[in-house]
Amino acid sequence: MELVVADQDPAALRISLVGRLDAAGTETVETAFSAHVAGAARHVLVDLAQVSFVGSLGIRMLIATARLVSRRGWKMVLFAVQPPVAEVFETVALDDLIPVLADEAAARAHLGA
Amino acid sequence: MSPAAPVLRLELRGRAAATLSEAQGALRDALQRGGVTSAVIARAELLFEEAALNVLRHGFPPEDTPEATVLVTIQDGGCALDIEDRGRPFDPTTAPLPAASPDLERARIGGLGLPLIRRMASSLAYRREGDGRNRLRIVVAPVSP
Repeated sequence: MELVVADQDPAALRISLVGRLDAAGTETVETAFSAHVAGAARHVLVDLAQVSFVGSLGIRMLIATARLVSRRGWKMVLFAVQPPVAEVFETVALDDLIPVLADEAAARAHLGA
Repeated sequence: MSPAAPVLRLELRGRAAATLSEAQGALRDALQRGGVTSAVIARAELLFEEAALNVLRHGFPPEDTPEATVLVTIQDGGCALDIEDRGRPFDPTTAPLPAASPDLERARIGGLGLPLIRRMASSLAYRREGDGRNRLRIVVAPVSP
């Protein structure tokens, strides 16, 4: 599990997660992910195109970081979710808490960024 | 008709996430070899991880080394996971689910394992045996494409 950060855009930070957000993957990436998000000082776009699995601990990480962003007056959105992961998100109604968009263009449009 | 023989037996020990990842890999391989579709495998992997995390991280006192056994069976194009442990009694089929989170600010952080197990499984059966074993059977039915 790794993350790739695109930091050039002043309107939104884009973080691409790569791998499996299972218990082990989440533990591996959680500290770095939270640190990038906490220091973003702008909207955050989370690219899930290369994430093949998300379990409850991965969802917990996404909710905790989205709340961190929201408390600082910004928004975090998810995009490019693979079908098995989308099924998990729908099962827990994650979309009620964090916007889930089809692709980066839709995610940017949602943020006005 | 006699029940199908298990295609895999997993012995889980301890709380480390790496143990689960390794077991998940073995589960995925066994189901793929058995010709199970990727949609069923995705659900089985999720259900396995959530059920195993519940048992290994919440089912035993902190000073104990938790252990669980999982038998994997392929049946009717789907699969079944039979999870057995000697932890404290816990019935995931009837335990109360957390209330839905109204918004991000008031959202509960965590506690999503049980709702995932209940909603993603095609069927769930739990029995506490007289000798102190928890037995949970999780069935994943074939998923229409």
